[in-house]
Amino acid sequence: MRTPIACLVVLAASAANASAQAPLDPIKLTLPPAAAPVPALKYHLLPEVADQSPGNAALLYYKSFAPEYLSNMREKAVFQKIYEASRASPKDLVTSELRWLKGRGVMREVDRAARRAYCDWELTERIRAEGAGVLLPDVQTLREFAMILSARARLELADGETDKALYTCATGLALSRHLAEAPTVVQNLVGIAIAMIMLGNVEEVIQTSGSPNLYWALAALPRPFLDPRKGFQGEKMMLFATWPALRDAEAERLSEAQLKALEAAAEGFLTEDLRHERSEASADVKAALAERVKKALPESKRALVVAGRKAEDVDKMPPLQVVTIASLRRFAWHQDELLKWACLPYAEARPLLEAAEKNRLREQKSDPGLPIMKLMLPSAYKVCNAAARLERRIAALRGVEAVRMYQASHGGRLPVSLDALTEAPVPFDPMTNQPFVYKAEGDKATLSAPLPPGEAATGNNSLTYELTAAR
Amino acid sequence: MSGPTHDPELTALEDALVRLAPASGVNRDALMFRAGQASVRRRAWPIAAVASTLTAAGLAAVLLLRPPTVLERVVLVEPSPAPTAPQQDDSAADYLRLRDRLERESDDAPPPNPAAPALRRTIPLDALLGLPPDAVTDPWITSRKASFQSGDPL
Repeated sequence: MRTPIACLVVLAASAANASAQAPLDPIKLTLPPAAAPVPALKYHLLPEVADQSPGNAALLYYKSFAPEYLSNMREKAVFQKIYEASRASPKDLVTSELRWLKGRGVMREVDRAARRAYCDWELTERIRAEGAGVLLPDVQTLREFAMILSARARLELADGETDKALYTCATGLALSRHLAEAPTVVQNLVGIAIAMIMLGNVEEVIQTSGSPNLYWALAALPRPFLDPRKGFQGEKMMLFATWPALRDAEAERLSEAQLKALEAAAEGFLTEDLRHERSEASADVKAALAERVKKALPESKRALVVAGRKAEDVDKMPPLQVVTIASLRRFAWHQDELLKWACLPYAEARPLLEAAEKNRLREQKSDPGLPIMKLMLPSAYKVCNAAARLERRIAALRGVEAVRMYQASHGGRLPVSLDALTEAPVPFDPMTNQPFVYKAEGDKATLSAPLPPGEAATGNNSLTYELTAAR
Repeated sequence: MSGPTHDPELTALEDALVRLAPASGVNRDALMFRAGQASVRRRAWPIAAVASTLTAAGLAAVLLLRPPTVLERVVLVEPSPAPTAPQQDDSAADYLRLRDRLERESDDAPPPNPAAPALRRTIPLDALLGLPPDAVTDPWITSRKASFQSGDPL
């Protein structure tokens, strides 16, 4: 049972091939002119209601997991070729031997799933029952589908099948939104990653000669495209579902069995914390717990009395109970202090969310009590930041398409400034609520997202498109 | 107006009747009581009511006065290890570690090569049919075999 998740952890470990601390390399695009389509909403990057059929998408996603569908694609050599194709320029795939990939039945199942009316992963009850013990081995196969879809889109572009490539992009973007509807942060983050892959394919479409202008297709996407709040709500269920004994912590009087269960939960937290810190697994957890409780007891007692408990009642409580109650209350407070900022647009929330995250990190570092906050609280800042970067990329691509509209009516030339664009507006950067920065020089230009005030460029706050007018 | 009739025969009968006297030993009042008693049907309900009242009272007395009973049964208890952490600890840790990792690495970088998963062997159609490997050579069947294994249409 643990193997799939362990495998996913290993795969996720290789996920970052660029440090978030280094600014991203500019994305280079060669732009052929393209006027707005007629009618304007002719092209879609998400299946519209008219394209949908009744039913639960999850059923068809899982149908496509059949080993008979996937076995030969998982041959090591074949898999490697698909991976390379998923990142290749379409012009390098003209003679690809992977053409068979375009007609694979498995991906038609995924196409169908993406066009179902709704997607219910049926995870809420599982989380209620299993807490953080819930297993998500299916997420890895869905990531594989994103890679295969990416390869298919590029093969379709190599064969001049732009409409089919757009259909494939819509499948991938629908998959990403379906994942983001799940009540876990893990699935939300994978959904964001898949959407990013699909936007990479949209960039390939944009660079294809004769491709349609996707300004209105991008504008028609939901805003925000992915909302992580459902994932946060699912995470809020996990603490007591994983450690039911904690529900009894606030009881006036604990039975011996309740106290033992509480002790087991506390030792579980410490064990995981030791693993997290890569300490010796053989460390004496009981002794470590006793030491923590002793250290945290005075402050925990004080916190409970300040919150309204009678001092004599608190004195009668087992020390572990006092420390647990104080740790739980601290966790609950910080949880909402963090997650409340996710309810605001990112540009408004960013400095406050970042401050709350820093405060949480500082608190959990100095907190002598149980490491509940450290282990159970997701990083709302990082998740919201990832979702906001996706929004930023969609907005920036709208800007790029506005530039292509200008080119179409100006002999292929790039505009000297964004003020020259009259065909369609360039949106503000959703991460900062500031205008994108555009600089042109001859047949080259850059469209950059503004940095948040006072920040140096990193992989998490920068985005630049380097544009070249196609000859 | 006519007077009483003095028919000699009737007069004789009258005299005879007058001379008749009731048999001794018949008590009129007792006779009437017995007649009334015989005219009323006997009913069983009073007896039943009394009987059930007495039964209920008896059972209540038994219930209140009986000695406490002790039910005994044999329960086999497997020796269990001392409680340490909940059973789902390991998988919970898996989820939390994965979440941490994804949070740390949620950057704009394109996703990595998800290293090819271990090849999962599928059961060949031949084996499913109980035939030796590659025993099926008929083109019609082999085309369906290929379709079955790849999931692609014929």
